[in-house]
Amino acid sequence: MEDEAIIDLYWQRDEEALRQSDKKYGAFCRQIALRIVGILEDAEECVNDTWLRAWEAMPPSRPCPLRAFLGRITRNLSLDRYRAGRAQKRGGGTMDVLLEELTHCLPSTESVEGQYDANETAAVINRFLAELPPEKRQMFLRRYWFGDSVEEIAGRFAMRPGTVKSSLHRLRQRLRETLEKEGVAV
Amino acid sequence: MSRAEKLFEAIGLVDDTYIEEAADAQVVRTPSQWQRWGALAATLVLVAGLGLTATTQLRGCGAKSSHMESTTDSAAPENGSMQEGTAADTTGGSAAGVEESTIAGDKGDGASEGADNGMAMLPTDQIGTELAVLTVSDGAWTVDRHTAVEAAELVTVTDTYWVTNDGDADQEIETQVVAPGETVEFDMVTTSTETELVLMPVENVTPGVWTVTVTAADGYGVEGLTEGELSWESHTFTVSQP
Repeated sequence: MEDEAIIDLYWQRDEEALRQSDKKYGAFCRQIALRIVGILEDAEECVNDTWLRAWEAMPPSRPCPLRAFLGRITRNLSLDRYRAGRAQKRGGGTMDVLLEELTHCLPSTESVEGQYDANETAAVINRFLAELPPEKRQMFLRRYWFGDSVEEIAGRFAMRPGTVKSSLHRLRQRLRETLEKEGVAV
Repeated sequence: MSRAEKLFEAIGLVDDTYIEEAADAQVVRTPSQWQRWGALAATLVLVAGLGLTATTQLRGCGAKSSHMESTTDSAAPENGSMQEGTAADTTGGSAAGVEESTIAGDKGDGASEGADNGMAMLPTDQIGTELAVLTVSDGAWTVDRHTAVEAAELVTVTDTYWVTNDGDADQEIETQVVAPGETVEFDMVTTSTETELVLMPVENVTPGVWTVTVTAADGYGVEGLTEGELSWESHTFTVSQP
C-alpha cells in the first residue's frame, strides 16, 4: 500500500492503518528497535508503541516520507526503553558499543558552554552530513542512526570491515571537530 | 541522559532526506563495472603482469607523492599458467631496508580471456586469491590478508579514500586506471593521524606470488608491517612478482 493511502487510513481513524503500517514498515522498525534495546520482546513493544504514537500524530500530521517518520518514533521509543532497561540492568544490544563510539565525537566539556539543545545539535550534524560524500554519509547513518554492525555495513557497501572501521573512525573525528568548532554543547 | 546519549538522540533528528538515502543505500559491484575502470592506490601498487616490480614512494605533506616504476621479467611464463605460492607471515620490521609481505595467489587454470586494458582477466574460480590491505589507523600500520570469497572482492571496495591534512580539509583522491608498467604520481598529503591505503584496487589480478612494497621518502615511512607504534623511518615495501 502506498504511504499516502496508509496516511489516509490514519486520518480516517481506520485501524487498518496500524496493520498496514506494520505490514510495510514493521520489519524496518523492528530492526531499529532490536539494535537499540537488544531484547526481542522489548523491541516488539517499541514497534507496537510506534503505531500508537503514529495514531496520535496523524492527524494532523501527514509525514513524508512515512518510513523516516515511523523509524524515528521507533528509535526514540527504543532509546527510552534502553535507558529504562539499563536502570534495571537488562538489554543493551549494540547500543553500549554505539554510545562508546559516540563518546569520541563529544567535544571536550571545557571547550563549550551553554545548554544542550537537541535541535541545535541536529542542525550542526545536518551541516556535517551535507558536506560528506554520499557513501560516507550513508555509512555514518547506517551505524549511528540505524545501528548497523560494522560487518553489516561492510556487506551493504561491498567493503572490508577494516575499511568501514577506519572510515567511521575518521567520520567520528570530523564530527567532533565540527561540534567543537560550532561550539555545540552536548 | 549521558552526553553520548544526547548525541545519539540528536543524530536521530537529522534530515529525513538523509535517513531515506541511508535506508536505501547499497553498493553493488558488477563485473561490467570493473571492466570499465581499474584503480590504483596512491602508495601501494600491486602490479598485474609477470615479473613487474613496482616501487611506490610515500612523501610528506604537500609534495608529490607516489610513483611507480616497473621492469619486465623475461622469464615470465607464456602459457598463462599461474604460479602457486603460500602467504608468508609478517612479524616485525626493521629500521631500514626492504620489508616484504608476500601475498599468495591461487593456481589458475591457464590463460584467461583478455580485458580491454590488456590485462588478463582473473577467472571466476580464483576465489581463493589472497590480497593484502595496508591500513593505517591511529598511528599504527597493519597488514591484513583478505581472502576473496567471490570475484567481487578482487576489486577495491572504495572508489576513493581520504587522507587528512592537519588543519586543512580532507583530500579525496580518485582512483585511477593504471596499465602494467605505467608510472603514476599522486599528490598526497598525509599526517601521522590516520591514512587508509587500499592495496590493489584493480580489476584484474594475475594469480601468483606478490610482494608488497612501499617506499617512504627520507624522514617518512613505516617501520614494520604489524600493528604497533608508527615510526617515521625510511622503509620499503616492494610489489613484485618473481
